Amino acid sequence: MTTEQLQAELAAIITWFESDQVDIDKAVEQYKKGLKIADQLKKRLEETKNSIAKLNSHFDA
Amino acid sequence: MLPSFSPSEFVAVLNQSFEGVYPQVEIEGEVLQFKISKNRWVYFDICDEQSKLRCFGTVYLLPTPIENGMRVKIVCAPRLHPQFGFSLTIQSLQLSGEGSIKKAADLLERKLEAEGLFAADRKRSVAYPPQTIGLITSSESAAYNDFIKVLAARFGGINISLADVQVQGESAVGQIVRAITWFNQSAAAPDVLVLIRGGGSKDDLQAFSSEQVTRAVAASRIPTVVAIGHETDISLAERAADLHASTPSNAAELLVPDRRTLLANLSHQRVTLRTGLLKMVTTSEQLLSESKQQLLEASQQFLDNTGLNYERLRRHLVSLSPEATLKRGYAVVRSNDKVVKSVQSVKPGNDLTITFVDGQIAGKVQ
Repeated sequence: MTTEQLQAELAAIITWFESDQVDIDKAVEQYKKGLKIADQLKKRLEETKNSIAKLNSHFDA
Repeated sequence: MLPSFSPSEFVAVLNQSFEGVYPQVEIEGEVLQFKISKNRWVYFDICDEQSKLRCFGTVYLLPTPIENGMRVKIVCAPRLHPQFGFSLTIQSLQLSGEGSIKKAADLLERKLEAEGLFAADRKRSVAYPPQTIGLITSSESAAYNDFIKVLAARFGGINISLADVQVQGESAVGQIVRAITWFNQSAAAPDVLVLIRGGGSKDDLQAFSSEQVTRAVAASRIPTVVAIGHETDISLAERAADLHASTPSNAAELLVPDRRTLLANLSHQRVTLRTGLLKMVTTSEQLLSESKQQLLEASQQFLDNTGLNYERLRRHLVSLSPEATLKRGYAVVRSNDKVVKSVQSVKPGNDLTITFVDGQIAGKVQ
């Protein structure tokens, strides 16, 4: 999953907790999932580097 | 003996002489009687105080719109036309003199403005953050290093394809335009094109205000970000871009969020998750407690109702008991220990026992 997809999923879990429904089993499951995503995102943010590829094409006429 | 020619022969000889002696010359002067014919052919005179020479070329050679009074430097070939006389066939043209350059730039800006290339409603949104960037700049420039450094400090995971081009000098315009075209024709087009260079003199930055680069930026189907370091005037390419950044570093800042902010948000989201879970546990406990109370109340109500009913039943039963009936004045007649319910069940002479509430008496059927 891309970083943006993970961020969106985490945001969706937080929104679920903000809703009025009460389901303690699902809440525990969602909480664990949310923490796992947060760990993944933290790792990505701290460790992922940008890659630079110089094009072989020369742009002379 | 004098050389003798027909007019056509002499024209041919003169053209041969020009080709031999001056195949190509550079002439600088003022433009007069500028004219474009059929949107393709350009005619003007190049003049100084004493002389004027007819010039001819195509509109494709003009780097910018031209007006009478501008000072230009042309590279050209002298030629004698059999019918129209002497002219200079233009091979390249560039503006000379600050005034001409400024005037040409103003003309071009007005022309492109009128075409709508800088209109706000043409601006597209740029992916935030992009996953792929097509970077067009010189890999040896400070602008390149600044952009890469700031981008790396702020965010990771972006794939950058670098088109290493000259950003000033004669080749700059062509190389930048070809790089923009290359990315636009690429099968795996990047999310955004970033065209950058550091600051410099007006001449250094000329490519970024050229018609070709400006049109290529405006025509790009990939959203564009253009940034030139610390210049006073905004170049035309920056005006045509979807996003204009003040410096190459600023371009990186506009393209991606800062990972420190994202990490802080992440910590906040962890707290929100924990709070959410605890809130739900508390709510569940409350609901459980309420349910328990409701159950207790319901049980009590049940017991109360049952007790009332029992008492009513008991009274009813008591009221139906034989003792109660006897108390009300009734008596039970038995014969041979069986209750006599009908006169048909006894015969004269049978013994009877009659039970009252307070005792029994014996009798006989007559």
